[in-house]
Amino acid sequence: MSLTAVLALLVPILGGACIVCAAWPGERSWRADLPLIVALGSGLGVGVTSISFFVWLVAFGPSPGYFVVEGLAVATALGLAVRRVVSDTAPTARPHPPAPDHPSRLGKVLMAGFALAVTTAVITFAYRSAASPHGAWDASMIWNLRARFLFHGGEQWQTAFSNLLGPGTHADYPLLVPGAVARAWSLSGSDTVAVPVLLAAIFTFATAGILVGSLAALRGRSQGMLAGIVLFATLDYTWAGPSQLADVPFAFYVLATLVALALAGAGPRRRSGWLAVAGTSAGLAAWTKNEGLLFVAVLLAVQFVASVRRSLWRYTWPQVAALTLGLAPFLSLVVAFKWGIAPQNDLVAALSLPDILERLTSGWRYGVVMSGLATLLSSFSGWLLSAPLVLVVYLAAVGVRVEAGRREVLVTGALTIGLLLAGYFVVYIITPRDLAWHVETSMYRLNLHVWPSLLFLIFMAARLPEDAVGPRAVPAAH
Amino acid sequence: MRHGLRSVKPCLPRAGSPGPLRGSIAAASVSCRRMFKLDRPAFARLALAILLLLALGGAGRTTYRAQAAHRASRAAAPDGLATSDPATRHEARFREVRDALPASGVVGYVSDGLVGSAFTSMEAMQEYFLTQYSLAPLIVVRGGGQRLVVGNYSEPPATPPAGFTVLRDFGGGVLLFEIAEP
Repeated sequence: MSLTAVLALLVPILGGACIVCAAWPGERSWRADLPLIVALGSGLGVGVTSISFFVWLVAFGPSPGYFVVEGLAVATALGLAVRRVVSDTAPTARPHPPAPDHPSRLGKVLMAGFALAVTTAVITFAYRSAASPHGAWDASMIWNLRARFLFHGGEQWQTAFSNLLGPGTHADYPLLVPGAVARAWSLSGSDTVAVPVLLAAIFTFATAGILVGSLAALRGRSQGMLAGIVLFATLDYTWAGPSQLADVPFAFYVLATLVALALAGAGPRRRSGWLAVAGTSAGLAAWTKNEGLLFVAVLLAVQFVASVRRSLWRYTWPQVAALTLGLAPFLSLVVAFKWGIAPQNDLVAALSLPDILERLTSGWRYGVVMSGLATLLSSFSGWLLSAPLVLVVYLAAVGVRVEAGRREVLVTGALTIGLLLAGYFVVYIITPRDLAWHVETSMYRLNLHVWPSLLFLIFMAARLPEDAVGPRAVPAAH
Repeated sequence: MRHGLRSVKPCLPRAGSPGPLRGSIAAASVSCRRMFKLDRPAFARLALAILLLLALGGAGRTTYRAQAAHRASRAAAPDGLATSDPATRHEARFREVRDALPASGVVGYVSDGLVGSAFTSMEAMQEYFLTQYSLAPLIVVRGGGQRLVVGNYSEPPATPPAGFTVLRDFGGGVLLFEIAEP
């Protein structure tokens, strides 16, 4: 494992974590939420440095000057974080829910289960990365290939988007993963496989970190650990993490957006800072995969509808400004990339209105997609019983308890994820590719985009395990 | 055990508008509990235990599968490599070619898995894309329409294709050709 590769990726993690820490609301203790701060900061730092590296490449070409500017920015973020830490006046324990002095027997069981799940996930990641250090097929054909063009191409980095490469390499795909890999290779000076492996590890474990940390902050530690166990035990997730694809990073940004919106509404008044984080995450989702543009559209539509309905959130103008401030820079860069650099998307290029109408009215296509979905749901997770089914039974058993002020988060989150999935469904129906092949080769990855977010919503809604199992398990074992 | 009776109430949908999902979940919960004659906490304990067992069992199985795949990959690895991963093997095969080619530009690609510009199999197509991956930032185009052409064969050809001159044979079916008039 190259030390320079580790250092090259530590810089954005440090910068991101410092920015998130500096912006942490005053009434919350940064100590109590440190895992969440680091997890959230890791993905945001990697994403922001990926896009800034590419912008520098376009503006000034490959030059070490970028890293000087990046270093100054990280040093500034570090200074802001230190100021926030020094001036911290919040109590170390979270006001909600109260943390018990001694974990209950159930708490200890969940802690042990979580430790076991993390251990198996780490071992699985290591074995998978050792067996396939260049990642899965799409990683070498699309994501790492593009990173090699950006890193080795020098002044001719634009060849990464040449039409000569053919449609199979998908030169129109956004560049968060290739940009992050090329940036770290440029800093470390070689195209070592350690960089994409470590990047995959960051997103795999940071996604789980956000899930566990946010649920711990909003619902309680045991709820967070239970969700973490389910995520780390999902075969499709732990298998896809080390594949070095963009699907797990995309899942990270979708989850980060929903979590930031939930945290924005968690305090006594909605925090503009969290809305800016939500906007940034959504923008970075669009810089990760083409599906991110659909996610942004769906997110804005749901937030708009929620805002105009009296029963749900109402945005004030400063809050709209905060969301826009986070989203707009990244979204404009994605649009500029699509407009000025990337070739046309092969799916879109092959579509015509008569074809779309014909496919939309072909009943058998709906059958193929539904059949693929049924197969996926029945086998998803690699458990003896499908995880979605087990979670429905679990919800039925423990019950649903939506705490005051959380209904909006659940409704808007579920609507966003539901509409995103509906969009995927329509894309399958109108795809110009062989439908059965398209469904078989991509549906499990698309499902991963929303799986961590679904777990977040499920465990936000579920009763706490301590409450549900009754008083017998609650007292501490002495 | 009074808590069995006490706990039936609180987590059912609250009065007002429970919403279709919460209502369905609550109804399913009541049906299941009646079927198995369980009080609410016992049902919740059972569900939690099943969830944990299935999840941790699944996690263990996944780790076992990853270990088995890694072991199989190592066992099938060629000499000098730690894995039989196709990309790793391809990188090793094409390392010398990369050094022998210019830093940028376009090169052709011929193979016994390529007829015209069509691949004869999925493996042949994968070999082409892995060649592109190994030689980036050079652009590798199918066919011999360039001055320099990379040859990738499962068995080295007895004679080069017509009009091609062998510049260098790297062994293992990897050759570099030159075409006088592409």
